[in-house]
Amino acid sequence: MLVLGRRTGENIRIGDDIKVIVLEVRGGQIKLGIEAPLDVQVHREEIYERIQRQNRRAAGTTPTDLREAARLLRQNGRS
Amino acid sequence: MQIKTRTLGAVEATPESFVTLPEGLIGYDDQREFALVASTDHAPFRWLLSFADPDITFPLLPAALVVDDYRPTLVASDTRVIGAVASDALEVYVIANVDADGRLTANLRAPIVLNPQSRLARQVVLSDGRWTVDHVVAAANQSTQDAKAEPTRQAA
Repeated sequence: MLVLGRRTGENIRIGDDIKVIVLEVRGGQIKLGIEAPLDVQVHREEIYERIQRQNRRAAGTTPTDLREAARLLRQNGRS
Repeated sequence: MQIKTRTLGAVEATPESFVTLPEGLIGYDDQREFALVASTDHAPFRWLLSFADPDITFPLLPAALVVDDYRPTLVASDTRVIGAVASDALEVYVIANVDADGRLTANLRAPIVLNPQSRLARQVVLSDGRWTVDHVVAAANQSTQDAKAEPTRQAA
C-alpha cells in the first residue's frame, strides 16, 4: 500500500482524472473532496459491506421463505 | 436445460431466461451464469439461479412493484458491461430478503439492471442515498391487520 502524508488543502491525484482533496482534519475525522469522472463510482466502504451482507442472506432464500412473502404481496395487490 | 438447486430441486430454464453477469454480484464475483425464472408458486417473485452453485437462489422483484418512479441512471461503466440500451427497454430488478419475522425487504440501493437484448446484467450501486439496502416492502403483521375486519392495534 502506498502511504502519503497530506495537509489540509493538499491533494492526491489518481491517474489523469481523479483528484482527492483534503478539506478538513478535525479530531479523528477527515473530510475529503473527490473529483472523478461520472462513470467512476465512489462510495463509502460500508455501503459495499451492507450490500454484500444483503446479497449473502438473499442467496440462501428457500421456497418456504418466499411462499408466504409472495402471498403477502399478492394480497396487497402487488402482482 | 435444467439447473440443479438444493431447495428448489431441478428447475427447467429456457435459453431466453439465461442472464450473464460479467462481474458477478457483490460478494459473489465468481458467479457469472444465471437463469432468471418465474415460478407460479412464488409470483410476483422470480428466481435468479446460479448454474454453477446449487445453493445460490436469489429472489428478485421487478423494481416497479416495489416503488413508483424508480429509474436508476446508468453511467458509462454500466453500459460498457451490459451494452447500450434504451432506458425504457432496460429491465430493473431488486433483490429481496425475507426476515425471520416474515418482514420482506428489497435492496433499492443496488438493483440488478438487465439489458434484455444482450441478456447481460450488472448489480449497480446507486449514489442516491434515498435508496436503502433494506427497504421494507411488506411486514407480516401489517397484512394481518389489513385482513381483519376490525384491526387491533399492534406494536410496530
